[in-house]
Amino acid sequence: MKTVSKIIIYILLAAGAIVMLFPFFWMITGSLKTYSEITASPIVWWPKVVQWNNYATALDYAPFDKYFVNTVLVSTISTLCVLVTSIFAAFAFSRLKFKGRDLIFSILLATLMIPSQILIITNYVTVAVRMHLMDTMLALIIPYTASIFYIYLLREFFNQIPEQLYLAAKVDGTSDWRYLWKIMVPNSKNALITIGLFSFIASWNSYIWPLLVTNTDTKRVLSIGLKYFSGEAGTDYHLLMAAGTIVIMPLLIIYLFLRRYIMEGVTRAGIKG
Amino acid sequence: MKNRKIIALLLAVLMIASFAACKTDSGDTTTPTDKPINSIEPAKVWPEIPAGTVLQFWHAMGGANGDALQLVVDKFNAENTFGITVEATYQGGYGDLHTKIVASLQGGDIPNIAQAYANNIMVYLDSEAIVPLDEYIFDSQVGVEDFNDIVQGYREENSNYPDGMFYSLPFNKSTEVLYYNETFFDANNLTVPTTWDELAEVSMAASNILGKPAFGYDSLSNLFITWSQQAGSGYTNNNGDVLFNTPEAREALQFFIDGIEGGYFRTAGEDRYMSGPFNDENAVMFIGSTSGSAYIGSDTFEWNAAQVPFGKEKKVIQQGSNMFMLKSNEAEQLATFEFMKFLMAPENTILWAMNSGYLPVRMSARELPDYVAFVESGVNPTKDIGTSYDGSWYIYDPVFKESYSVRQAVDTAVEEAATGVKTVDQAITDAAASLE
Amino acid sequence: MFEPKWKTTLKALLYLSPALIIIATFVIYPMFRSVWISFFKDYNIFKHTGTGFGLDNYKEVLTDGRFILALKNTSIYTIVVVPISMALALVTAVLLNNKMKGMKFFETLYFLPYITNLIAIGLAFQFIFNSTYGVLNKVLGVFGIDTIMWLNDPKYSLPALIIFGIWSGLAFKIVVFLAGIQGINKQYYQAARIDGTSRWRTFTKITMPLLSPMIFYIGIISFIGALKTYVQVVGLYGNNPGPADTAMTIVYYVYDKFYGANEPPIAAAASVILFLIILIFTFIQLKISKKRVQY
Repeated sequence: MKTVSKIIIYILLAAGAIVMLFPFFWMITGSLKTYSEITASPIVWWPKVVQWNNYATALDYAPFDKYFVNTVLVSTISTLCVLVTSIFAAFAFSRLKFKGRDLIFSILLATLMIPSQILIITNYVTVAVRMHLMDTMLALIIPYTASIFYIYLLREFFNQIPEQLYLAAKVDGTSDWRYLWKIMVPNSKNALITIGLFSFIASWNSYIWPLLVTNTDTKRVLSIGLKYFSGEAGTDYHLLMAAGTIVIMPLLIIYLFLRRYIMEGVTRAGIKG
Repeated sequence: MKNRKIIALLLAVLMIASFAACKTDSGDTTTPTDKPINSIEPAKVWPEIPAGTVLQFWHAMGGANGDALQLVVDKFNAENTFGITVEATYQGGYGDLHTKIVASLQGGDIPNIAQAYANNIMVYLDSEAIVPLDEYIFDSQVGVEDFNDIVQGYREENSNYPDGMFYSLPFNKSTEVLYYNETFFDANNLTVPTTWDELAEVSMAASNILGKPAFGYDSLSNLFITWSQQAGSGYTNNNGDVLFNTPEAREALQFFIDGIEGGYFRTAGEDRYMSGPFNDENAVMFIGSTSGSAYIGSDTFEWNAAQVPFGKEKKVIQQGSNMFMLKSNEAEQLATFEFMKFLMAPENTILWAMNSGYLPVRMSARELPDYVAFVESGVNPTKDIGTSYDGSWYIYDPVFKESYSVRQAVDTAVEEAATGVKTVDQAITDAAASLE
Repeated sequence: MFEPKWKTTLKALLYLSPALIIIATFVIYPMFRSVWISFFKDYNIFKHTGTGFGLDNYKEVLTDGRFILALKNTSIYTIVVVPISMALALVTAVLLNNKMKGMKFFETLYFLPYITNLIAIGLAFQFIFNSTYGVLNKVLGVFGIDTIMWLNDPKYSLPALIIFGIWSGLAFKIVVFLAGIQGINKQYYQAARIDGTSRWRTFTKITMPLLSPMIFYIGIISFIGALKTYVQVVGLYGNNPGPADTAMTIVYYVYDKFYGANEPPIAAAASVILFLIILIFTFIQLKISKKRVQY
């Protein structure tokens, strides 16, 4: 590639990165400032004295250690469930030609068109009252084990794998099940990890549902802990930033770890065996 | 002989007369003078509270306020003679707590006691799971001692429900005060304004020195509700009637808009709260809630608080939420009430006030030595000012389901006028029309 | 076809059942309950009884000035944000898809906004948009543009929200586009190289068409998401949807009516109206896709 193009690309990407990164930078520097430094005008860019103690103070506000364990558990399990339900459903939509395929897909797509705020009260009644799952891990997980959002995305990835492979396999007498697990899934590692990541992050940051279905600290999650810093007449921004940084660190680590894995799992030519 | 008979007869007559008198006396009860007509008599038989009773308290107090609450709860758990333990659980902000209560009232686990704004409690009444507290409050055995000692405005707000019953009791109450930069005032020979005219005058002077608007008001809806009533206008009532479509309300809003256009008043605007600009000395006065005092502070100047400036009438807003009881069994309900009484007892309400952003709920509490000492220490000037308002000056939003919409409409009206989108007259007219 | 249709249908339903059960229970069922509630003038959500069955709530919503405003704001927001953020994301993904050093590093940077706390983001943007010391005004000042009161001026509050919306939607799109581009069969590129095709033609004739399903997926999802905007308004403005409601969206209106004003039937009616709007437009988009998307 020509050097000029390379330089242009770097410049563009760097400019974009600055824009994308800015709030992250603001959060970290904010976590090290005092309250008055954060709300000062004109702007204080760097804290006069780095307030490492913000982190200690913030952690005291709520039992973040318990919350951490719960959040990891809930996010992991619901992500695994999402992957399973999405793989099955996306396979059906992608490879199986069945009656009503488009209709069912459309109905499911329609479920994305409803604002979730309207649904949670009914879901609370379903889970906490009818199923008697109030204050349990199961309550946190169950409603989020499937979503057309991920099924749709996975379908598109599955569709990238040539249909000829499927038809050839059928001629060989391979069952759908074998085909799904021996061919489609291994060739979609990239996509599955992406979807898993999105699902994990969504679960990690979800707030209102965990608040509704849990009462005790032993079942609560990190996002609830973040709420402790907001009060009626203001917010302890510096502590909130500190806690917020702590909360996203695991996500960042997971992303960095998976990033390498995704790069390795780049789709091969699509011919196997 | 004859004398003895006469004496015996007299005694007999006396005895019969006293019996008769006693009979009429039993219909008489010694209770506070403004006890509502719907009190219960005869005296109720109260159940035993079993030792080891655990009560669930859902609240929205985070941060320092949450710590203060835990302090009082721990004190109750340690001191109460019934063996009751209260578990206080934080349920997010007011909005989240409200969502949670609404959800749980549909058949889920409900707490024994929770915190909410009166208009939301009004909504909960539909569930028929909220316990009216009158029979507890006015009972001779378990009732609240010296109930009239509780601030008048608080008592009125908590019985402002359709049937006049007390469905709630005051818990975390606050009010508004005028925060001002004492150092700046002293340095520039400014006096603290006590009337509208003085407010405009001082603001103009200060703004000239600062080069930007010197006075702000945090809550625009409070601004409208307070100042229009200070001017003599109505606001609304329990039927949701629009009473603010008046010349007086226009006068009040125009006073504010004149300041905006004149460059000496401002809204919080993009800074969200006036505390930010105040701390940075980009403003030197603002009217805000007493519960926001924790966010005020600076190394470069001294701040102080004063009563809000008054118009024709002395009115100031009463804010904060209340506590209410949810249905359970008789014994648990009584236990819950004992806890509520504890929270409102003089020594406990000042403990709460001294550690949180809120005010004591009793008038007499202001005189307690601990509180007086606390106020005199000057660590938080708003505590003094907040309790200096006469009980009759307090105004509160009448309790009805749509009260939120009315407040929202006037808030929008102020914003529209302040940003120049509409004239004062148009803004108020439209707000009134939107509520028809 | 290798199997009779009904056998395939049965098998398909089996594969679909886990997802269908969950979605039916936790989305479709609550949705029907909402629709049911929307027809009652007064509804006691605790006792599940209602009075006044009819279309009154719909009439009220459609004549409510605030709803009309929310509708207008949401429409403008959607029309502007979706195409712009998609274009930016596509360009970024293409730029990132090369063998130069440091691409992984950049990818991480571009993904960070997705995991960052919303309040932190909101605060940062408040700073960016600040009228006196905000970065945006400083940059615009270089081009000779006067100070704009982004968050205070009713004229500019929606643009501020739009800028915020474009920004916050980028990370997800970039990741999906990048994964999509990297998922394209390398053989196509090899063939193009052998043929000596120019890079631009490779892009327009191979990459774009093969990426079109992904582009379409993002298009639909973003469109639906933009019409449902709520979280961004809270992040940028807190409890107040812009000065004089100028940044209020439909879902904000719904949320406000449900939890603020405590009028569930009105909120339900508004969300049904929103649903119908999204449904109609998505249907149109799907029809278009049948002609344009290739596999």
